[in-house]
Amino acid sequence: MAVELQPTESAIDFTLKILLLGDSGVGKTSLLTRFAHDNFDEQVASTIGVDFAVKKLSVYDKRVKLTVWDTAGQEKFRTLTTTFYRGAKGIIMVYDVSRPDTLLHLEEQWMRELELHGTEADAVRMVVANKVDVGDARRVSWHEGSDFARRHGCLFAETSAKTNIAVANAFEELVLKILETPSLLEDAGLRSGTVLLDSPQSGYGVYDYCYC
Amino acid sequence: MDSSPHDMYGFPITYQGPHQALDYQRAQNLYATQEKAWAKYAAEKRLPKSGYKLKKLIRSGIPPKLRSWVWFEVSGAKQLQSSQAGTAYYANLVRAASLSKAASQVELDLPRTFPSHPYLSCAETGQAAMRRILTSYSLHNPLVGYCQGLNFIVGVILLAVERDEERTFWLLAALVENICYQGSFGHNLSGCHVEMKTLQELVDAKMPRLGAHMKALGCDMSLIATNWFLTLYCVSMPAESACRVLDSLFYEGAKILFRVALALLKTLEPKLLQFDNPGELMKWVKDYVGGILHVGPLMEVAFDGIGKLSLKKVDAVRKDKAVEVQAFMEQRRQQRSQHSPGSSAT
Repeated sequence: MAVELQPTESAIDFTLKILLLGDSGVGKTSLLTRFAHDNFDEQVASTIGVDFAVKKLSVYDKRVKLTVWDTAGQEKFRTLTTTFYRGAKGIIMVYDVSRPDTLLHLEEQWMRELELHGTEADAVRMVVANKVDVGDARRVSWHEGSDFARRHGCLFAETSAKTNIAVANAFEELVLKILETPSLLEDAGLRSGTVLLDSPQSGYGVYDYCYC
Repeated sequence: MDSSPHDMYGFPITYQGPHQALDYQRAQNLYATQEKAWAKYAAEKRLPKSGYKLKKLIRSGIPPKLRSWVWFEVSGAKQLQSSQAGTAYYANLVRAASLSKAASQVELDLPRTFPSHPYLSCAETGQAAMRRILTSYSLHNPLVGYCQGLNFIVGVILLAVERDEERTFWLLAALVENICYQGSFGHNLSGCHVEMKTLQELVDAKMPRLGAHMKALGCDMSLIATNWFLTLYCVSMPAESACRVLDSLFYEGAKILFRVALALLKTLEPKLLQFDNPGELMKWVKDYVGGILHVGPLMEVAFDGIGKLSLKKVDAVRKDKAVEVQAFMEQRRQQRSQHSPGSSAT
């Protein structure tokens, strides 16, 4: 894939907001940590509220800044996370291959939340099957996962944050797809995500771009 | 002998630089002063009669060795316990713990509750104790059941009260049932929504520039403050610092959560105004708060540097916000029923 990690701090062509969704304990925080810091911590604490990381990529000739949001998974937290959906261009829905219920909940719970609160009709969605390192404890096959993703019009990837299988590839595939979707890039340039406080045409604050 | 540095509750400490080592030393030096101030009361096992005197004493920090006693006395936990005739109540709940519907979520969280702490990460001891407390509590208070965040509160209290499980249980009950705003840990966290909106309004009133800046960035208050209110700072700050917050929280009530939040935001305001991205702002705040090894100066701002903040004022704002939150929950409920499987989705 024509992706090069960590370009220099120079001008960014696009800032893209990515969300990680899915049940508690499926490995959202670990995927974030693996992707953003190439690290895995056996002793990760449960996320209360939200977590966040930035990762810069070069994709073809574009410099892309990903702002990746990770949220608490317990059901009662879903009311709190509605504001995080705003402006998300890519949605990664994660399940744990050793817990079939976590795949079921993507359909019953998380996709419905997305329908209700997502603001980008064309946002690219990806289903990620995490923890493929579990060996015999696996309860959801590749076929079940990929069929599910296809049925719902989502990209699909199998990953292990722990043993570093395909995590970067999954994010890169998502980004490529976003970059191929012009409607998602309309406001992903300098105008959103990053407000340049010192840029003469932008003044101060995102309200400058309200055209209504 | 442990080889790596750890704090008085056994958490490993990593200093981000020499100033942090110095900060921690400063916090340690305070304990001698606190012990002196409390010596008379500790010796006689009684609290000052004057509420004003007691508030001042507690605000300056309860010596760690006295926390178990003072917390239990001032929080209302003791009354809650005695309202359930006899000490068998907790033991009976523990016996019934297998009935808890919260058990599976508790199991998911136990290994993720302070995993770097030697006792709390030990399956046979610390985790087993937290499991008993959390599942018992879910049976005792079915409206709350279990809420992520309570695990961290229980972890810190358990250490602070010298691993007394039953006392931790009643202190948790006092916090959830009497001290924190109603519904903060309930099934849709509506109380937490109210607290976030209330904090937003207090910030807008007391720090309008910061309020406007965060609004312009689309940085909702809940992004930075959810874990402050749902773990009572127990996961946000190092444990010894969080215990200073708990000291006053137990005695003065939930307005302390706002005082500390406002003090943090006020202290950090110049820096926060420079951020142009909500996520980076949130992350920076999280890292900063996680590194507060000497909480004394922050507590001074909380008590003396943010102006008047009465419970009456907080309650008045909460009342308004509760109406908004109720409308939001109702709207959400309707939307969800319209989108139920079977109906034609968009």
